[in-house]
Amino acid sequence: MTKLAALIDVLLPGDEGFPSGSATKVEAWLAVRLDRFGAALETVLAALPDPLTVAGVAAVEAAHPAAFASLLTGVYTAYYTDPVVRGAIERATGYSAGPPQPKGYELPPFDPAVIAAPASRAPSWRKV
Amino acid sequence: MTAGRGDTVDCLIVGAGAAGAAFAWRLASAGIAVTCLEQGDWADYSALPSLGNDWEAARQSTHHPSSNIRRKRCDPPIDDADAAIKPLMYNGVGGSTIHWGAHFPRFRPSDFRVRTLDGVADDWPIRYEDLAPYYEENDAIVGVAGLAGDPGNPPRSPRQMAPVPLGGGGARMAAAFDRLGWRWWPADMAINTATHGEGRSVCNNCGPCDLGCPTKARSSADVTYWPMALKSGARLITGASVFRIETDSRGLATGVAYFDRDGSVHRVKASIIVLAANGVGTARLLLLSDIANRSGLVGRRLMHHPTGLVTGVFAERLDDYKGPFAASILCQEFYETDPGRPFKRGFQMQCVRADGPVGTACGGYLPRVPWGHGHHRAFLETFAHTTSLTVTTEDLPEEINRVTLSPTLKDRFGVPAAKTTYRVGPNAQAILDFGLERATEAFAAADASRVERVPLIAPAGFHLLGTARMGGDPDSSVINADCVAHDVPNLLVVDGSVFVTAAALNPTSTIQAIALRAADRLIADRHNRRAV
Repeated sequence: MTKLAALIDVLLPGDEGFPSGSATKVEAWLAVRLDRFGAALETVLAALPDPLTVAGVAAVEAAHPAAFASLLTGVYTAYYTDPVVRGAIERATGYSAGPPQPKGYELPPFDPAVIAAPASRAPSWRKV
Repeated sequence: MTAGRGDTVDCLIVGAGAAGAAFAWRLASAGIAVTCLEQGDWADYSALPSLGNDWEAARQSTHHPSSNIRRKRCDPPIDDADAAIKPLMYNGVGGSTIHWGAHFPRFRPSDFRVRTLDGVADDWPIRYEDLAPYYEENDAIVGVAGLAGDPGNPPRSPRQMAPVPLGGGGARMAAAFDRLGWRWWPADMAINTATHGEGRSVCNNCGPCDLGCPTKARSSADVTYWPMALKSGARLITGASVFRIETDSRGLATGVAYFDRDGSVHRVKASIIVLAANGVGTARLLLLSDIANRSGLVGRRLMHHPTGLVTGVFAERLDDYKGPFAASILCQEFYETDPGRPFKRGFQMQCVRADGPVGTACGGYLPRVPWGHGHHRAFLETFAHTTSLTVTTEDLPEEINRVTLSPTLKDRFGVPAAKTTYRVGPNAQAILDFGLERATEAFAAADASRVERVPLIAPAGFHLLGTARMGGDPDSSVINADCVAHDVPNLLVVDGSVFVTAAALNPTSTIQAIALRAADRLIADRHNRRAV
């Protein structure tokens, strides 16, 4: 396991029906986006203790908050766009694993009965 | 057609966004030869992010609302280091309506009379009644989902379509507002909830309107006004970055110079030049050209609408990722000035929906979900369990809030970039403080289990207003009530730059109403001259 994969598993351990981060596309996704995340990756990886511990990762976050936040954005984005993870969300919540389009979502249409209270109020705009 | 290069045109418009599109259609319909130059391109509806699983990743990069982050070739950089609110825009046919949430409120009558009524800022030289017929016409063209009869606003014609669905969050907050006795109403939205407009479909509640709408149910100027304008004979040239308005010895505008995509310079001569390049782009172009600035106000009085955000987490599922992301209902209980409050004017709250999985994890409406053990539990407790209220404030103009030319940053052609300088004024800050308390109160009434605040959203400079204000006095305004530059009688400005004050409302319907009115005044003026 690479140092990055180990870090990803500390950030995103597998539980609650979700896979661990290293079992998804995260590492490969980051590898082709080094223009965005390369500097953050370098900073964080260079600061990580060996062996890797949760406390050690937290210390890196405290010491390099901007780089860590940037890398975490990349990790979360890669993870939550992975089809396996989307499938886990769908199983847990019913949220579709597919993209928003072209299906969209069904919603009950607007019900005019809901405006009974606000419609009964006196005009509040100022005439000038 | 040689794209107008070397031509003399009757009317030349710079910018193909909401204002430029409406203006072009009106003039072309009146038989006037009109050409529009746009630095961007047409949106590609076959490749929009919401058609793929990476749609939320696109929000962070290729479809980010900030041109500084998108960095397309057509996006000039903006120096915003000294701006508390970062300017956002889209450069292309349709302008920022390509990425907008499609809120379509009208200003209220009091918004045009803040000096007279409340002793702050300045009155507009036009009134609500001057714009009312243009609001009506614009609504009919764009298509508005909403409901007439709001006691909080002047009467208007029946909306073209029923309101957008409230969804879980909207229904929850509507009930909370009722409990508190606060006025609320379904938002006027430029979104099709029924068939309206050629080639446009009905909204299927997919959510991320900001990434572009594959069904064209959410309006944008490229699918509303532009097809009509082109059919009426208007010409549109894309990939044209205008960098100078040229003038003659009499001070009249004679044409513009622009770079094409390859960096070659072209000139177009024109009898009338109309700027519709938004509150940053228009100011930049006027400053680059050093014209129309006797008042010294070009670029000054930049207004954005400082906005805060309050999010409630609920024990039960709301599934508010469904539905147009920016709105369902709005609350204008605190819109007008109240002497009992420590500020003038007021704010509105808009109920906005919820993020998808990536947005939930990375944070935005709520803080980022913590990493490590417990991450997925925390994710599942918040994803689909939230709804939010924005607090959008009146933004009184201040001359220190402004657009200038960056001394250091240049675009890809070597032309100085715009620099924005912006602070949240004390009145807006007082409104924000009060508004965040009220939104928190609303979530308490809605039985939210947890409430989180974002005191000020920095990347929320969607509204670019005030940098070439209208007025009757050439020493204290840039253009007159008909949008004609005081100093250059054949130069018009028709975008958000012309706003005297900002109200506390989304500006696009007012921008388009002003553009249509200005076009009519120009047409009438030409007829009158011919008749003399």
